[in-house]
Amino acid sequence: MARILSWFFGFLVLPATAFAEPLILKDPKGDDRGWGKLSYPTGAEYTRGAFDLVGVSIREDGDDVVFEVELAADLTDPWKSKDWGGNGFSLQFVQVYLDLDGKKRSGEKKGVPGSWVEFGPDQYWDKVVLISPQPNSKVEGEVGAKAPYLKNKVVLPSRTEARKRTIVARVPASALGGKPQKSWGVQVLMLSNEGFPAKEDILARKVNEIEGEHRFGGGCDGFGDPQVTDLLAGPAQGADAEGPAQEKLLSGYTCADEPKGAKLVQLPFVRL
Amino acid sequence: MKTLFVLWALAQTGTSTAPPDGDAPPFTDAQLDWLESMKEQLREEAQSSGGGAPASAPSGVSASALELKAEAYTKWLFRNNTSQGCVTYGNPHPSGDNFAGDNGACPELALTIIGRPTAKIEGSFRIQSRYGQQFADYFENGDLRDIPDASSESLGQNHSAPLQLRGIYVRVAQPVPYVDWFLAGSSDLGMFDPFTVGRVRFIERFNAKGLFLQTSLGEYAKLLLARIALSKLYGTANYNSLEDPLLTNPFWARDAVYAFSLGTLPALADRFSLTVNGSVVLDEEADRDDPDAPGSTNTNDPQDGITAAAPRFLGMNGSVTANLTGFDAFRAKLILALSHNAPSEEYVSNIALGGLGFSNVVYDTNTDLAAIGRFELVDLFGEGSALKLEYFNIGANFNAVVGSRREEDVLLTDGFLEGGQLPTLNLANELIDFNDKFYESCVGWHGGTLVAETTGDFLDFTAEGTFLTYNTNLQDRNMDLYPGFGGFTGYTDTQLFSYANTNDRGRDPRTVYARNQDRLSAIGMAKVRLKPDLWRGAEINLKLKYIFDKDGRDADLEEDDYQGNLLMGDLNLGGQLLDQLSGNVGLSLDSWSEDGRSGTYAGGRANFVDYRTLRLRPYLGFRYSLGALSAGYHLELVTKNVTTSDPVLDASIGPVIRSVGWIAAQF
Repeated sequence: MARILSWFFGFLVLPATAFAEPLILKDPKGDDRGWGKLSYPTGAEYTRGAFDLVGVSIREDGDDVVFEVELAADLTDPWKSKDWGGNGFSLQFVQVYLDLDGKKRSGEKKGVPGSWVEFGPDQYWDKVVLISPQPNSKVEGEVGAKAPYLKNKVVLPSRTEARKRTIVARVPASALGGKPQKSWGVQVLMLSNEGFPAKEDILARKVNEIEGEHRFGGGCDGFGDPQVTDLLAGPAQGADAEGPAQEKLLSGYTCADEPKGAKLVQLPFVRL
Repeated sequence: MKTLFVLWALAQTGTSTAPPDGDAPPFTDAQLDWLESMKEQLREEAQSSGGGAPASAPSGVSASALELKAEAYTKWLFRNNTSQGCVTYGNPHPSGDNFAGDNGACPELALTIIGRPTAKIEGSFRIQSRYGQQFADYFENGDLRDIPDASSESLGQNHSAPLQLRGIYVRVAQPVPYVDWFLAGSSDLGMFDPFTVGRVRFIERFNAKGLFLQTSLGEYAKLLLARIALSKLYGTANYNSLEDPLLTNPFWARDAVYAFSLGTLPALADRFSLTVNGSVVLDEEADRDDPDAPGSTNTNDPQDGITAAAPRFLGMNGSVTANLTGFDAFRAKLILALSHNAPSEEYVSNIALGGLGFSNVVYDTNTDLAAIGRFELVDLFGEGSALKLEYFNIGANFNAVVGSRREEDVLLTDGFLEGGQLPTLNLANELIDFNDKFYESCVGWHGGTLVAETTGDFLDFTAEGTFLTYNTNLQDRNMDLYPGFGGFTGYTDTQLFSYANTNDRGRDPRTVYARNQDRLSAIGMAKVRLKPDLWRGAEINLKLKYIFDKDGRDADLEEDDYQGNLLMGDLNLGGQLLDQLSGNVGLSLDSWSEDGRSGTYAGGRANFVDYRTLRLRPYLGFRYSLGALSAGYHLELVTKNVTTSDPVLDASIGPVIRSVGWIAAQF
């Protein structure tokens, strides 16, 4: 009862606690073509701007950290995610990588399987927040089956919502080891949700050489091309120059018929 | 040995290859790179040996050119009656089916194979077991007898789960200059819109087949052309193209929908898109005046070895959609659509005749228009809020016969029923379970909707007001031409629905025409979603809806007037019980006051009865998910009490106890 009263009155009287300044990161509109050649799937549900990242806010809210990922287009739910226990959108899969300690070579170098990126040359990630339309248990099961070594590094939101153009994900601060800090290195990758992914990928939609009804195009049919439509580049202030910078970052891959032969792109973190 | 060394080396550097604070790096960068590559290799080996997905194919073996995807699905239905089957509401065809019912455990298997021999070519097919087999049907071999027996050779193929070819297609990218791609085979038809060619319903997504070709007009527009095989079950007049007393030799193999979609690309207009869709439905039969036609009575003319065809049904639909989305402060959308339907009296019998007809077309040639305009102000009352205004005007004779049948929604309003509104008489509220949504026809609707909504960390709130009248309002409509869908009246009870009017189900959701109608309605709806920090994943949902519905029916009579005051409420609590398990519990309460709900004009006197209905529905549900496995369960209890102005018609139903559960694994 005490908790109920506390929540109710807490809701009525907004808390006066001073929160840390939010981390605000921006990305130019219209750069959702990965390395400049990526094309959307041809299916009608992949609407214009659906994978175009335009901003990220990371803010403290009580014991939680709230990630707000803004897109260029309204979120849609063509596959009726509520019917499969999902979170009110269908298409996007956002991965927020955090370098918490800033130490050289500390953490994970490779991105979550399915992203086909790595971080570097010497700044690795410590935590990744996976913001998916899938229920947490599905994401957890995929990570457990395909990357159990990431279990302690993957953070799943306690609540994920679609609000117009913004995906809002709430994460307990304790899962990130604390509240948002300006010292954090941040990188946000925009991928597409795939409920029936390839055996080596975690819920990520494939990019092929030629686009298909449910496949992105402009990459390769083997392994090595980033399955990423958009990310933060440069100082992440939304300047036009960040578009070409992103294309340069993502274009350094080499494809191969097998994962071992592939050369992945190396991504930096943004630090405010 | 290598493993031990790497583990030792990693131990020297903690869990990562980062040097400890203040210490000099124990390894050079090259050594650290090598250690990291060894770590990756160990992980891959551990994954492979542990049964997990290998990160790469075994050395020396090429990756398979084929992609295999499989799904095993089983559903359980329970209800406290003795009806048995795999789906609550089955095939509405008069001859029905032998797999619909309320008690059963029914498995299904699907195997999809996709191949890409080159980057430009993709081929795929799906092997799917026919739905209808129950756990209790083991040993059934597919033979069918008139009376089920214990031989295991009597229930037919629906109960033996034969494997069936579905979803077959070949897709070629850039086959010739100026062509983006060409597809021959299956598609879900999601490239058009509900006013022309609608996306087929989910369970049919592998069944529609055709030829599709897309070309781009530079960077400015794309054009899709398609020839889609017409479904002989519902895509034409009278729900089918072969079961017609007027046809002695039905011809359906060439029946098709010819469609196009022309849409602008961002290079032409960044913040604005324009899409034009069009379709022609052509159901042909052998021209009975041609002496070459089977069964022709023309004995005068000589045969020439060529059989002419004549249209049995011709339908034409077009739509123009303008979408303004590139502005932060507002969005606007305008849809204009046209339909023209022409059943041929020579080849289509009139099943609308008599006013009780179940027909997906009006038995007449007609043309009509539809228009929807939507304007939305974003963040008007603060961040996360919106004010939406919609005007809709769907002509009384508008009918998208091959438009979307369900699972789409063209109007903003919450509507009368819990599903969406679609501009067709050809709705599909069959082959669904008791907890699936019903969709309603908006043919003839004319009105407006205002919606205010806000979303935030603590609560989401939506309020709606809709006022509508009907283009179908008319006195003395010729119900020998217009389908009446049984002529049932009153608010539709989708919770206790049946195809026969055994539970006083009310109006069929497809019904838009009545002999005498003078109707207007208003809908008010408010819903709140609270997200308190009281338990994990806590959600409290409250939804209230009020519908005022008035129909003067025969303008010369007061005794047959209908007035409905319908109140519906639902309270639901949800949360995450375990990492893998979420649950919800709720209560629906409906109170419907309907004056003159139903009656007759027997003996030339209007005799209509007032109904008061109270329906209670407590329910609970669970959803479980573990990686590639997911499962769900829904249990509810329904009671319904009806008191009327004619006590003979008073009824009490329930408590009906029923549940549906399912488990699906993808591998």
